[in-house]
Amino acid sequence: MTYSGRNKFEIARFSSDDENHINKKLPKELLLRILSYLDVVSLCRCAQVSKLWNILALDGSNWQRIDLFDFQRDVEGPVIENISHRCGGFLRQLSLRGCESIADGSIKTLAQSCPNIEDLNLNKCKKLTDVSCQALGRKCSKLQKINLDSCPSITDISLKALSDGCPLLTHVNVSWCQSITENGVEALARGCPKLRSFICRGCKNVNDKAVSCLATYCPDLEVLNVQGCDSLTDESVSRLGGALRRLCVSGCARLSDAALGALAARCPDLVTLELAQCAQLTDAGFQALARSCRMLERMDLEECVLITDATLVHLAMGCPRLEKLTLSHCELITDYGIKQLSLSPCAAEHLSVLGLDNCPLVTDGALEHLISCHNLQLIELYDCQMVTRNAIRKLRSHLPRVRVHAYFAPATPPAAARPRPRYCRCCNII
Amino acid sequence: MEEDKFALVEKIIKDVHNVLSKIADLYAFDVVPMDINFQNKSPVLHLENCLGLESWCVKHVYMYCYSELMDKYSPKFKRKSKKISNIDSDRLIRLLNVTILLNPEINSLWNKRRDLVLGLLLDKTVELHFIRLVLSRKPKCNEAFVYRRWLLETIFQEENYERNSIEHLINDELIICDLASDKSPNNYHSWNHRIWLLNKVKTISTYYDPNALYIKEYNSSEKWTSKHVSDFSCFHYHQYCIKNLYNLCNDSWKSLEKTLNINFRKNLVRVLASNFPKDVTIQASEENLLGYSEENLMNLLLSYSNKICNCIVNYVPMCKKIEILFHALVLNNELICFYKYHETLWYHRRFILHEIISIMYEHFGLVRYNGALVKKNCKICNFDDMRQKQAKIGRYDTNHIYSSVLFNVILSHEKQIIEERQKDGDPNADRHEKYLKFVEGFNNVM
Repeated sequence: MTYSGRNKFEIARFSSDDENHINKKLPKELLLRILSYLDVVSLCRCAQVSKLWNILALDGSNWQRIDLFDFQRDVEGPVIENISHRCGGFLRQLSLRGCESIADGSIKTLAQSCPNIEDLNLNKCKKLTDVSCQALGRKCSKLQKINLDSCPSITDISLKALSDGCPLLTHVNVSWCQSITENGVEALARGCPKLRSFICRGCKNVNDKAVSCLATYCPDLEVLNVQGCDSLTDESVSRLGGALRRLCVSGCARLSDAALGALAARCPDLVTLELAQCAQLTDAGFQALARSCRMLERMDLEECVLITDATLVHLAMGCPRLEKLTLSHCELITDYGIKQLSLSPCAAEHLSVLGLDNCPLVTDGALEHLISCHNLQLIELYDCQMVTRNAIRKLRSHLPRVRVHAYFAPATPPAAARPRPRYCRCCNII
Repeated sequence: MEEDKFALVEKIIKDVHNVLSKIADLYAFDVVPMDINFQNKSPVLHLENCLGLESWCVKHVYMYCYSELMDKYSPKFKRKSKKISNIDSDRLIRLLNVTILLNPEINSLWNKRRDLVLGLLLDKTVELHFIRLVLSRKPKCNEAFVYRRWLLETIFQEENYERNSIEHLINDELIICDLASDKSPNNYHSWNHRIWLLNKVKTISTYYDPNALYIKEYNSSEKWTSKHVSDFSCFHYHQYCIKNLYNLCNDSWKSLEKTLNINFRKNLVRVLASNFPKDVTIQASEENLLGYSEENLMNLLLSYSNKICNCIVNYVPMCKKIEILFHALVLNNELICFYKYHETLWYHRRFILHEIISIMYEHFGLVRYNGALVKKNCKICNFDDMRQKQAKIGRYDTNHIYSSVLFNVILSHEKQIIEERQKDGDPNADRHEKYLKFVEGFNNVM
């Protein structure tokens, strides 16, 4: 207990004159244990029951994991300060997602009083600056996961401070912090060798050097998301190591088949691969990839405009676990490719989501082939103008669970067809 | 099936949002009639800065957006109204855009937008542009105009505006009013908005000289009325513009004559000369009358004033008023002869005559009260109470009006046109005669 000396006395005082049944029957330790399973809102409600419960519910040991995202009102600075005083060393996990009014001062207090925090989510706390991260770096050496998504004032200084003070970091998210550059990422990579996940969507200044550093110094890196870092080239992506499971390089338009070849050679365990808008990739690259990365489950190939049915043939042969495949805007895909996909081992058991929107050559024939994909749950067909309503109806009759997304008006229920009587019954009688 | 429908609607909302955010200068939105879609094609169409939505999806999209807005974002069901945070504001804006484009006549939705503007989550200039898009489909949407006025009020209240931006704003408003009036005849709301704008300009005129605007507006409304002879909303605005011209200074008066390319005095004199009563002792020709000063001309027309006070009468503005009104009268003559049987034109004529007659009453210190003429107390001199007892009016006083030259000129002029139109079988001519007799009280002279 946080204020144990004073609280023991108070608990003794309040529990002695408490006539309530539950308080008599249950020992305080058990009550405390029960309360520890509750979320913040329920705890606050319990704190209003009685003086005894107030003390028990507000005990720091109950407040190890706090998520303020669903809170009813805008969370202001003092709330965080109270929480950090109350929880002290107990606090392990705190989510302040979307608490836009939080400023550096509150985070400083937090770092001061909760040095044991391990997981901190500051998504969209837009007022925060490097000062917060410096405080965290000084005090919270046990920090493992930090999310700074959409905090635009965060710069390299933050990453430097975190890399100096938090060597245990495994998960870092600095998406849309547009001031982050290679220097910050390099410091982080050198300082936190245990890094498993690094996400920096939309950080335009993250370049080849940054990714190379991550590849060199963080051998455990499993998740890398560099969506929209458009200066990346094959050079750095080719260095990524064998631990990689999930890679997102959507929007990195300079990547070519060489990168796919290197990934195929070095990362055989890839599970998720997102390559949207990588318009230079061709069938040759996917052939190499499909030969060695047999564990692939999810692939996003949106706007890879050069790929043809050959890619689908390779994927169908090489990736038996494929679950989710997005081929939006791949305009060269035809029914033949879909047929090959539907004949593959993945189709019958795994394939559940297939995105075919804006593939103009896909026709009703493709849907007929897909009837054999028993696990199919969702198929996107927006703007496939050769697909007709009848074909969709047929697919639905074979696969009743499938959701089909297309630009067709939902069928009107037959009840509406009967015209309403113009007069009410009484008028007829009269 | 239900889920697929929601996904379809979500996709359409997204498509609309993409078009709205990508193309900055969209200027028109409409629903394209298409009962059934045979093709798997997006119902969101955009072509040359116009946005269209095929009608088959409107029902689904509207129901979906409207119910989500009302269920999730309406304060009715919440004990405390939740403050809109950045996270759901984006979603809210998307839904509002679609719903308002489809049905702009819901004030609750516009109020949501007001909340967002006050929370700085929506940009005011972007909003002005969005309203324009809404008006392109429903030019008679009062809610949109009201919201626009609210936005402009807040913009004008910000002190840091500059002369240029104000001129820009005013021009934009005039253009939008023009578009809305063009799209839909008898658009009361757009003309009303224009009047509001001009009144607003008066209050912020420290930065802006409204006279040039008045002249411009008079000119354009005159042209508009002569092209839309049945649009009384527009005539009402024209009347407002006429009243604005009453207090023009000399310089502006000259520029008015220049823009209209008319000599007002010549116009007035021509009407006078052709309708001069026979028994007047001084027979004046056009050339003769042109030489008169304002004061002499007014003295000739109204000859005698039996006002009870000693205020000095300034004849120059009075003469100007009469010149403007006679110009309007001549114009009205032409329109009535050209576009036959248009009631609106005759109503406008009533306004002109009423204005002229009230100028005469004012000159003679009279006021029409409960249908009868009574003497009016001059507010400036505030003459003693003794005189108030004599407020009853004698036949003597009215005779002064009926014998004045101006009155006789008008009377003969009106008789002439009524006679002419009656021959043509225009029922409005009879009504006009009755109006003059029984509303303006000419029954004992006509």
